[in-house]
Amino acid sequence: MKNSMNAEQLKNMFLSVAQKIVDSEDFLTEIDIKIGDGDHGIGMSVGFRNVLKELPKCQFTGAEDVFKMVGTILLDTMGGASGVLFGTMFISGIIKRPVSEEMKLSDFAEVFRKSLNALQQRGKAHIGDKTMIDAFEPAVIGLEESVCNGLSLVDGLNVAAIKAKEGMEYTKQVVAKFGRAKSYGEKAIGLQDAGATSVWIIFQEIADWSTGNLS
Amino acid sequence: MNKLINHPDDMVKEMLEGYLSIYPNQFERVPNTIGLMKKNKSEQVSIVVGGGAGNEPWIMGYVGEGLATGAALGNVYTAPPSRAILNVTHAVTNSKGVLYICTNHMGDVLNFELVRELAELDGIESRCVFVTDDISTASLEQKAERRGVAGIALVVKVAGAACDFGLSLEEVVRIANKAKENTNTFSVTTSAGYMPGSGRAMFEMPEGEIEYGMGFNGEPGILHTKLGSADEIAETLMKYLLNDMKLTKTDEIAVMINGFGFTSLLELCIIGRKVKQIINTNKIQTHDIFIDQLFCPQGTGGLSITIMKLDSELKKYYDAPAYSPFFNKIAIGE
Repeated sequence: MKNSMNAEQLKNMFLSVAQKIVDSEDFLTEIDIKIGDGDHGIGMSVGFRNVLKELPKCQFTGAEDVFKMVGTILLDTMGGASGVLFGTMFISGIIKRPVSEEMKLSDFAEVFRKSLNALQQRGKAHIGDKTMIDAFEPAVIGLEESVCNGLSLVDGLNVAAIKAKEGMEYTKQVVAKFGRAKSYGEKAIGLQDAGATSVWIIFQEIADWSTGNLS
Repeated sequence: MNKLINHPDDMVKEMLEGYLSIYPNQFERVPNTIGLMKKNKSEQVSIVVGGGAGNEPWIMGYVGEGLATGAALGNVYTAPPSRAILNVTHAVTNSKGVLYICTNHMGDVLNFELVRELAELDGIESRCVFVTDDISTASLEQKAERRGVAGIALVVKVAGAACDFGLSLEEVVRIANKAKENTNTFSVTTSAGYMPGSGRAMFEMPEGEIEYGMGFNGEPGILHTKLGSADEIAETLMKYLLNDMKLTKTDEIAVMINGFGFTSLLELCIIGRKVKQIINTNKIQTHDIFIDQLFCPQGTGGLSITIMKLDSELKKYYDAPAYSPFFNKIAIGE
C-alpha cells in the first residue's frame, strides 16, 4: 500500500472530486434553495466544470502546483462568496511551501490547516456559525489526529471524511451568522448548510478515490 | 413568468453585448471579461463598481459621465470573480488610484477585498467602500452590518463627481464614506420577482399581502402586512426612515423614489405625492426629490425610498450632472 501521493495522482484525485461536485449540482441546489440564495450548486458546478476542462491540460511536477491550479481555476471562474472561499481552501495552504514530489498524510494535514486558518481570517466564521468551517475544521483536526495516531494515508483521509460528515450534520442544529441564511434565524434549525455539504463531498471523494486507487 | 432570453448561461454576456453594440460611442468591453468601461479616459481617480447582475440598471448602467469609470458583472445575483474585477482595474486609468464601490453583501465584499490586495501587489493604490443603506437589516448602532441596496446610486453619483473635480484618492474615499454614512433606504415588496433563467418566482408572496424590508433575493423583511392604500404605504416607509435618520427642520435632504420594475410610474407618482406631503409636514428641507428606476430586482413589485442627508460639501458633488443611457440626472442649480 502506497503511503503518499505524487502530483499525477493528486491531479487524478481532484478530477474525480470535480466530477463528484458537478454531479451533485442538483443536490446542492436543493439544500441551498431552502435557506440560501439557491445558487451554491450552480456556482460550485461552474467552478469544478472548469477544473474538469483545464486540469487535464496541465503537466505538474510538484504536488503543491496541483492545489494552486485547482484553487486558481475556482477563484477565476466561480464568483460569489464561494469562489473566494473555495479558492482559498485550495490555494492558501500551499503558499510559501517548498515544492514536494510526494504528499504524505502529514502534508495534507499541514496544507489544509493553513488554508483553514486563511479561510477563517477571510470569512471571519467560527465553528457553530453554520458555514463550511463546521465541516472543514473537524476534517483538518481528523487529519492531524490521524498523523499523531500513526494512521496510513488512506485511513487518515477516511477519518477526515467521517469528521467532515459529522460537521455537516452539526450545521442542522445551529442558526446562521452569515449570508442570506442569517435572516432565517431559528427557522434555519433542521436545515444543513450548503457550503459545509460541499466540503464533505470534497473530503468524501478524496477518501473514496484514495481507498480505490492507493489501497 | 415568460422571459425573453436565449440561454440561461449566456444572459449576462448577451445583455452586455447588446448594451455595448447599441451605445458604442460611450463604452467599450474590458478584454476577456464580463465588464465594461468608459471610452473617454482622463487622468483622475477611477471608480470601479461590480456585483451580481439582475438589478439593472445597477452596475452596467452606473458606468458613465459623472458616475463610475468601469464595472465587472457577475452572474445573476452572484458577485463577479476577483479576476474579472482585477481585469477592469487594469483596463481603466489607475495611476491616480482606484475606488471600489459595491453593496455590502458577503460575496461582493470577499471578492473586492481580495482584489484590493491583488491590485496593491500590482502597484495600484485602491480603497473599498461598501454601501450599507438598508435600514431594515441591522440596528443603527450596527450600520456597518447593513446590506446595500438602491442607495448605492446616490453614493456612486457623489463619488463620481468628486473624481471629476480632480480630488485625490483619499479625498474621494472620504467623500464617498460621508455619502454612504448619510444614505438610508427602506423598501416595500408587493409581488415576487423571478429568476430570469427559469422564469420561476424567487419566493412566495400571497396576493393582497406585502412585506417591508424584504431583500431583493427574497430574504425575509421586518414587517408583513395586508396590502394598504398607496398613502398608507408611503406613510409606513417614511415613518421608518425618518425615525432611523432622526431628521429635523435644519436638515436638508435628497430623496430618491426607486421603482422595482414591476410597479408602474403611475403608482410611483401617487406614492411620491404622499412622500412630498410628509416631508413638507415635517418641515424638512428638500434639496432634491426624484422618481426613477435605478435598482430593479428582476420583475419585482414594490419600491424603495432612499434619503441622503446633505451638507454643503455633499451638495456640491450631488449637484453635478450624471449621464449614462440608463442613469441620467441633469445638474442642479446654476
